Amino acid sequence: MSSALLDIRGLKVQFRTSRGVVRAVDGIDLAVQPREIIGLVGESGCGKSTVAHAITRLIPSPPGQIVAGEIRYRGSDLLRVPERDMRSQIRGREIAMVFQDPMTYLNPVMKVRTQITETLRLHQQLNAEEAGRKALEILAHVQIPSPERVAKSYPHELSGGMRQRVLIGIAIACTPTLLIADEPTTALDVTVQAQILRLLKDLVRDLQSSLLLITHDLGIVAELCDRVYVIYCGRVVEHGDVYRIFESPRHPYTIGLLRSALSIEEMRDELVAIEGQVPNLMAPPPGCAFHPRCGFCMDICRREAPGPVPAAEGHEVWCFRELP
Amino acid sequence: MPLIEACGLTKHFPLRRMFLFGRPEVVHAVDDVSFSIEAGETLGLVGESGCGKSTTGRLLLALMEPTRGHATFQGRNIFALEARERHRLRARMQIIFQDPFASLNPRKTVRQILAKPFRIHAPMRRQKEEAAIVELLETVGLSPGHLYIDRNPHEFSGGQRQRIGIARALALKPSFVVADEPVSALDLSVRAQILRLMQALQRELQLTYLFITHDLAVVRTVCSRVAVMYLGKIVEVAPTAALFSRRLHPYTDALCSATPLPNPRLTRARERIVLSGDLPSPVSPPAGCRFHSRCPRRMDRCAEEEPPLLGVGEHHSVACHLFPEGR
Repeated sequence: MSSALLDIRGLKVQFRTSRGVVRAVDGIDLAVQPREIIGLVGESGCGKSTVAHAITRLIPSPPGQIVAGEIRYRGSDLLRVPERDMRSQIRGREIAMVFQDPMTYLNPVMKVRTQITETLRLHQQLNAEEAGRKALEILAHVQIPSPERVAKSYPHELSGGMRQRVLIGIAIACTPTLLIADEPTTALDVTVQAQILRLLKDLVRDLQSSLLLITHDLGIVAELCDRVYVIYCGRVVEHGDVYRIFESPRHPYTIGLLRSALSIEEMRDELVAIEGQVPNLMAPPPGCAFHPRCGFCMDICRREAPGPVPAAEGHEVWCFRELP
Repeated sequence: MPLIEACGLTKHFPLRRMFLFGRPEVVHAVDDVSFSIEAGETLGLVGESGCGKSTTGRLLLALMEPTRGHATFQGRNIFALEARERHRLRARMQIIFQDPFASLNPRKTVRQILAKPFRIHAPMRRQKEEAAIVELLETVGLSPGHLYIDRNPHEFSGGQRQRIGIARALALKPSFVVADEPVSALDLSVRAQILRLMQALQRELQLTYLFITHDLAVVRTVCSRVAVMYLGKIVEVAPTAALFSRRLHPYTDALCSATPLPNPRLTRARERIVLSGDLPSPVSPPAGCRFHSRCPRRMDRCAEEEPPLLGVGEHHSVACHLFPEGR
């Protein structure tokens, strides 16, 4: 039994389509401790967003379905909590989400103030006036320079960076213990991204919350995260402390990703790439999902899927090369 | 003589709102932009959204008319050509687009997509055309070409579609290629593959690239020189190593500082410059230096007088009052 804030065991999520079953998440274990920033990193289609949506039970069903596993939040399995309680107690209150594209996730026909007071009145039973004042405080807290003006605005009247701050404001309105941010800065310019990442880091520290940050950007992971999970084809292939993962990666996929990552600090003589492409999740390769692209592939890799092997304290790798 | 020269290129887009009195509003997308590109080099054009880099790329290909200024290709003004000469010029200058999903016609086969450039500029008999298409596909790494030629775009991955887009751009063996965010929409592990392909093709076919992107790390890796744009203006131009080591213009410095490094020790130890505020509107850009409203090092002069782009060293120019000529 762990003291983890969030403890996911054996999570499997599938999507039934007319052309077959997509095994989006195929057996993931993940733990988030209190006051920790965890990075979930992988490329498009690897299942990291699906994990995020599964935690708050926002997987559209049909066609999606959580077919196995448990998601323990403070000891209780969220998959067994009635929907009514998910709504009133968990979502927006204990666990909040910040999504990638604020224009898609903000209500275009509601003023910003109303979108914040809506969550405040739902979870904290404030009256209209109290909620209105609190909304202004929240806007100031997310470093919006003119809260009154922004509160009266509609999302389309704001810039991308402002909208993302509003979305973050809505998320932290009821001081959640776990904040899940799914590619929160992908749609933003790099100078705005720097502002938003700093904001997230400061907020999480002030609220003493944990942050589960989902991204494909290794620079963001290096910037913010305490620990990292690397996901490939719906499975964790490696996880560990951020310094270990970047300085002593063990899984060939992690090594490949890090070597092909570009940086403004280095002049590369030679561009290194991972050959091949991400497989179809309806028909993943047998054995280790990465084996067709792996330079170290052995016979066993083609037949069996590797289990976790400890490489160091708090550092596990799913690879037959790693000797226990 | 440089292969390409931009001379005071300016592009203003009128807004639809019409006022009865006063001047109609315009978007100052590109304002008095001048630079040159030597044959065989890769010039990076960087900036954030709305800075005018894509518009500049399209102006250089004569895909739109400038409001003022002109551009030259091998010394000739591309906007002053007769229709027939302009048509021939198109075969020499091509573009690779950002979105591998939007830039290929989903209802056409690869054969139809790649045959188009030939049919417009260099029509030939079917068998020869097919052989040319197969060779093109193999040049971009889609080998054997016969396997791919009759498929539709949706049957390919993002990286493969981008290869098809590159093949289309290279069909007529151009001299100059504008690559507009060619890898931004691709996964990390595929980016390096495509960049490597572009570099190999450059050597093989003696191409000159204008590489448009917002991603400084890509620029560092593939560009020989870089021009930084902000709100329609060029603020700094330099050879790549010098740009990143000296970062003279405060905006260049802020951009570099804002770009996270894939190295936790380095990135957390850095001193960060976080710009305040949002990008001003290109409809009414700030007076004087357009960057002054967000510049951490602004002086009084910056709000009144626009700094000219001046040389400060070996092929290095900056538009900033902090660097008057020669210093």
